[in-house]
Amino acid sequence: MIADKPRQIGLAAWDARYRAVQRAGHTQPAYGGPLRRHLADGDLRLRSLRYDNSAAALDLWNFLLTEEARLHAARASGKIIVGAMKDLGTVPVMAYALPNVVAFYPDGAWWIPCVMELCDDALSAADALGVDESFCPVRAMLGAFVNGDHFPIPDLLTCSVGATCDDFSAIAQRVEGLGHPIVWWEIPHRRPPEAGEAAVTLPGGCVAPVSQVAVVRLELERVRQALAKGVGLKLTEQKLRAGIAFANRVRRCLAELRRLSFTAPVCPLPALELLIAEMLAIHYCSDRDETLRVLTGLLREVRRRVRAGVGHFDPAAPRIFWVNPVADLRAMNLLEQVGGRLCGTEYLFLHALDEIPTDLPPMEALARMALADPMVGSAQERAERICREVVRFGAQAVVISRIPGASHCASEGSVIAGQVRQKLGLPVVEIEVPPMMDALRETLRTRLAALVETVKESQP
Amino acid sequence: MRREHRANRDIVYSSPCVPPEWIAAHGLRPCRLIPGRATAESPIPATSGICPFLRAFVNEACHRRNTAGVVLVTVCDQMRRAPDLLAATRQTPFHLFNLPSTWQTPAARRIYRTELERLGAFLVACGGTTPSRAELVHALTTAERQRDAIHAAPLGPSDGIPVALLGGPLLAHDREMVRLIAACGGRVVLDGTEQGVRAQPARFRPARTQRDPLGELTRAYFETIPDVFQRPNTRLYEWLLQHVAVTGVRGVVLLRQLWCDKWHAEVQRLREALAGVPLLDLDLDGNGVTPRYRTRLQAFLEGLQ
Repeated sequence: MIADKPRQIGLAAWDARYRAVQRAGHTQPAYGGPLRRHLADGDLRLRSLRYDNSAAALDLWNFLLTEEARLHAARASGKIIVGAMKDLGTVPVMAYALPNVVAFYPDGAWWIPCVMELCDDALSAADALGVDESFCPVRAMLGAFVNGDHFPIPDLLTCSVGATCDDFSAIAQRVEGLGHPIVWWEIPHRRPPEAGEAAVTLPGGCVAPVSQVAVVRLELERVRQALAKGVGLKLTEQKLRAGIAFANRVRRCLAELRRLSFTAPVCPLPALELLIAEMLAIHYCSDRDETLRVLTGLLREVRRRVRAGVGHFDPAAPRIFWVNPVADLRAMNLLEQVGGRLCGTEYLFLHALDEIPTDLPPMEALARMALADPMVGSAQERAERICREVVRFGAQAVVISRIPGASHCASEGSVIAGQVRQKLGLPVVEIEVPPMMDALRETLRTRLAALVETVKESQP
Repeated sequence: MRREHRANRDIVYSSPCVPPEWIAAHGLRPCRLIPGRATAESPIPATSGICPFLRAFVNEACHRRNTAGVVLVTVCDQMRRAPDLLAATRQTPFHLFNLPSTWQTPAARRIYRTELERLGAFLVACGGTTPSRAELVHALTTAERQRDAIHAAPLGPSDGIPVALLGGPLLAHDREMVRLIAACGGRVVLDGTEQGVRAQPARFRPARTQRDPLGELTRAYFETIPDVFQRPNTRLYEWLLQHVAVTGVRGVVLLRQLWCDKWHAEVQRLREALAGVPLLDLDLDGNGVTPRYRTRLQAFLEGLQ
């Protein structure tokens, strides 16, 4: 471990830093190496980002940026590849419970246009299929299925449908229309229980009717059977319990990472690395064991910094809660460049960060977790949880980052903003971040800076 | 008797997956609302990204007189989220009907049937009465007779180039498109919109209706109406290709509401599936049939001559 002062550095500075990390004896994984090498893969956005300078962050970035190679290696070694679409943390838990399976998240292709600065043809391939820019950037996934440049075509595709966004449902249907069969599983809109109806409290605190949990459990049973058939092995209760136990180890690690990062007096880890860390937890970035190792390394570094009282930014930096993931990673840097500090997030999948109950039959536990997805319930419920998290982490303002073209973003932002203002009296700003925000950078900077200034003005 | 007159008896809905027989059997009046231009600004103001049909439907339903309740159906993400926008104006009771997107499994059918029962509870809360089996059977047979009478009526003129309409829900003034097509030399012989023949339920089977009327409602509405939101949406394509062949349609006019991803994403696939039958894709912005539609329709129909 190298114990230099935490700083954010650019790609050029990482060259020198990489040599220092090597000299300090940091043991890199097989996918390690200097960050700059990813430019050769077309990951041009790396030139514009600011990175944490720790060895743990280096591992995080290298792990993220080598996922495609990992998937192709898995295919070459005969592993079964499962594409878990519109699935935030459920099917991967089941899939990785089986041996010889690699599950991944094809939706993650939505960052391709950003990372490759629109130089890849994923979006133009989607355009050619009539799925144009009026859709959410996840349309890049459709292009990735067409051009085959990013991930191998999965052996098994699953997709949740029902209470999901229209963009994704429409795009997944187009994927199936291209000749890739999908196991569709129904996730119903989570509703409040009727008077006198049997109900359960879900992970995260929402309440749902028992009958809805039963529906999801049956649907996940279909997925379970499809997985078992695909692999040729039974997905037993014992295997599922082991899969859930592993998922909970990852989630506990991430929970501690978030808690420390959001509450430490000095920020120990910047927003960008935290965003990536959260994303790893929902689908394991095609390697479950390595996900835990990378997150554990980050947590170790964060603990060290907290103990030493060192970190990033002004300790008095306004504490900002962020809602929704951004299509352009650079936006997370921008928040910090205008003087803010990330103190809480809701990237559409808080349920996938909650521990999965272990005192229940595994399929019941997974069904409850899936139904706790903030996106399958009302925006009011999502806003309530956001408010609880804002209070928990002591955030002083909220950024709602709309996803361009996303069906849910037309209405839910105003609901969330309304609740935050009404219940907490905190300032809120809504922004929209496209896959390449360069043309809007000054506008976004102004809006974020205004929010930060508003918080500063209100401080005694 | 439970059929006494009440001031507010109308149950307003828009989705063809809501069986009006079920509402009528509860002693309430089913009102399938085809909204006009969205003139009311509340509870949903004009907002970028909001479906014009959703806005017009919700705003008109909320300002309509004699409404006992509004039924919203989860056919799309925006309709599913409409209750969020109604939260501030809960003057009119509303019910969110959870319509499954999957349809090939027994579980999906069970969900639909359970949702009918839940809708029944809502109807009772709106002043209706739980029907006996005999009352439900009567409602089913009456509704079927009425549907038969309505669909015997022709759609438009008897000459002109045969075209089909396809798409989701239309506002009242969007129906002007039928007249415009006729004016341009066409003739609508197949209505595949959400308010047309595509969205009609299957005929009830008499013996099954007597034995299990709720089960028959489920079969007729859930298991047969093809729609774009279903996963997979193969039934829609099967229906379309079969009816295009039978009716001798020479062109298809797709009418989709602006921001409707589910229809929008299918445009190119529909073109490929229709193989040789041209498709004109028109997005509707809630402002009615404006001159731009006339120009495009004229060109389209000229091309078909």
